Amino acid sequence: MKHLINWRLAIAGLALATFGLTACGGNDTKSSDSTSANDALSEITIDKQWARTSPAGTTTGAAYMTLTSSTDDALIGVSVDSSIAESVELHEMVMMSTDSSMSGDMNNDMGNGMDHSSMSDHNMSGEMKMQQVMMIELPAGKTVKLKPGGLHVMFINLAKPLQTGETITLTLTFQNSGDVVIDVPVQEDAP
Amino acid sequence: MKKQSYARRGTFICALTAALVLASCGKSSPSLIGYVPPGEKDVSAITATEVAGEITRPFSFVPPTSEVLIVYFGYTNCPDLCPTTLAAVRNAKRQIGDLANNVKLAMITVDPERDTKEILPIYLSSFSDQYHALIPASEEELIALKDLFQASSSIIKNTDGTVEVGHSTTTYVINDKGIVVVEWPYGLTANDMANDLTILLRSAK
Repeated sequence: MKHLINWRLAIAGLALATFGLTACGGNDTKSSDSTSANDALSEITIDKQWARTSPAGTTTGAAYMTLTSSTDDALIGVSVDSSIAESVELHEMVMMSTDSSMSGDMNNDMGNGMDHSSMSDHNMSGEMKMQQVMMIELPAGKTVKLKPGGLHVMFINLAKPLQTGETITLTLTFQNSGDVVIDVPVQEDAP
Repeated sequence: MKKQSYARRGTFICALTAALVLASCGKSSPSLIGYVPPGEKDVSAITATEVAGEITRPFSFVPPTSEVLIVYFGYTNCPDLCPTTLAAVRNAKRQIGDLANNVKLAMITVDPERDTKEILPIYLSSFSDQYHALIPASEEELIALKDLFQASSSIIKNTDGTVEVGHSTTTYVINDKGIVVVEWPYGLTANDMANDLTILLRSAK
């Protein structure tokens, strides 16, 4: 298995170097501006990418997108130029378990949350927090969404606020397909 | 004899149930999309510390007549949930035209150490032109506010200097009597919020 991954990596690297990034064709019904890392074996499609316009005063930010790989792969890293942010990480939002909470009022909120359960899974209990993830699995053919309230790319210590209309460049690193560079528009809301 | 007693009790329970159902129907508008707290969730009892420039003043959760107040617990270094929710509030206000003049936004920071008087007000100005920056002056004040709303939060300071903040994600909408009339769980869309605001503001007039 290991040599297969290395082989794929080499192919992916070669494909990237040779062809650069190819935009998805018109036969992709959903995305007009998606980006693909393409080789004979696997294709990674990235679309609906966007980063949120920075509210004034904050030093953090987030970017979202959808990812689909034609073969089993995983997003294992993300990077951005230091002119954008000091660092960037993959994060997810998780519901805190009651025993990890430092506050004493979780029981109140748990009761409250139960009443909300029909409306949103996020309210099954009280508190949510971020936690870093080291990889995001991309099972073959399955679209994985990085979206508000779930998985996201987090910018830490933004060099300057992200402004509507700007485009930032992100480098995504995939376990099998190597690096893919994407342009991410900054906008107020999801596309 | 015993049978009759049961029958009577049954009739009584039926009548009581019907009365309760009717009463609850009368109380809450079926068209609200958010969650309507049972009973009267009164948050008028205590005040929070509001900062505005160099001024610090007590803030009461009772908006002026015919207005509603939206309250959110969050922190400005929150990259995902807080701006998502506050952007939805902003977009909802954009959808409801002049009614938006009667909507105020207040955020209670759960991270008062970092969210200073210089930061929180300008952060809120990105989402609303009518806002109240509430920075609890003490741990006791924050706890009292969380108890009042049944919200929760926690802060963990790691040895590497990073700070982990957890917080409940509900948004509270309060009428001019200081009653929480609807609660929006995380993820409610701007459309849904606009729906609820329209109903509440029209009925308040």
